[in-house]
Amino acid sequence: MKADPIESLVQDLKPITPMMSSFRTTLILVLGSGVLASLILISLWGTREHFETLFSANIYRYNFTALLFLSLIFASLLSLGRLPAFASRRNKLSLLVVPAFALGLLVYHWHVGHGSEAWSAGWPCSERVLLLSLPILILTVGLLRRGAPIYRRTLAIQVGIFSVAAPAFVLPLVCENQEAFHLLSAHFVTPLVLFSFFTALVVPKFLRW
Amino acid sequence: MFKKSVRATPSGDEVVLGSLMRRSQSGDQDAYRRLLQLLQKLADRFAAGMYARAGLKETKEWEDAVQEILLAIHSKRHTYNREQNFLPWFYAIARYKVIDHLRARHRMPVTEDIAEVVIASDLSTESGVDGQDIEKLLATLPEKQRNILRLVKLEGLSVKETAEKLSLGESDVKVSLHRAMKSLMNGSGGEA
Repeated sequence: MKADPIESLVQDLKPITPMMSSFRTTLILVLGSGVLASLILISLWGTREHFETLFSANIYRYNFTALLFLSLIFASLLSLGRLPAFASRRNKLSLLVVPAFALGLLVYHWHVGHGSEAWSAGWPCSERVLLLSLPILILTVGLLRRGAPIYRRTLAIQVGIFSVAAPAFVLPLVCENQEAFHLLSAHFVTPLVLFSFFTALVVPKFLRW
Repeated sequence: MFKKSVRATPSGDEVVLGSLMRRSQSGDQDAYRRLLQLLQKLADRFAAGMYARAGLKETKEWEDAVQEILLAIHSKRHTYNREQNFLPWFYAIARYKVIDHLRARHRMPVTEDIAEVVIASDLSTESGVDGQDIEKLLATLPEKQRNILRLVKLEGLSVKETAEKLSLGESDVKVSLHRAMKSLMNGSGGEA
């Protein structure tokens, strides 16, 4: 700064537009990620036949409800985490969903007795989720950068978790496989673990200010 | 999930600084000048305290950190919510910038945990509370403990400096500080 730093900052002062409320930001994040993932998914792969039957199947109802809930929770954590006064180390607890889901999936895998081919068969779906998560990640990080994130690593992993939720939510529009293990592993948990690991490594530097 | 304001008996500093910040956000240059002058003093004490805890006070590098805090306040002033307390917002930014400065200059590992170690005696770390809760918890303490805690833990004064400022004995300050921290960790206010 110059010799009189305070005066130079004062001269640079302009009225500011208040930040969007956390509630509004949360809604925009959830709706925006859902719409974006749907648009990209449909434009790239179209939809499967009779996808409207999804909504009457119990497995999808549970799937949709769980993912919507997860998306809402993480969107609200992100919208609060971008504000310094609300940043909280306790938010780290939310990251436990990653090992919890991973462990749950392993237990489930052991319980249903699938072979290792069940994992490899689902990989194309996992790739699609990862691909759809990228634009959501970029837009969300852009939004966070407008704030003043304090706990960058925690926020980076939360962004990863949030970015996976919407693609996992919409992928059944394309995928014909209705097996619970496939939905859980290929559509959600595998991309969740990989993507949150990726964002934990890459995103913190983009949140620096 | 979305907490309402945590204003609980705001201190004098809180009222003045909050008011100046709100006027500054509207473009009032006089208010902004006054605000920055006051914040510079707060940031100075805070940064010096954190550098002292890291064993680096002699380097005087904390003076650079103060400038960075003021710049951050300026560039992120839109993130202050007019309906919230000002001081938790300010200290969150100040702590972030000082830790960032410490990491950059002294090659400290870039992890949040190390940051917490550096500020191991910081109020929020010891009591397990965060910025938004500090003012609320402080309000539960008797005035004497509250003042001591604010000066030592938030503004970074030494026990000796605090004792001189409040015209108290050093041992009195230490005992009150210990009681205040114990009360906060138990989640309720204590007795003087």
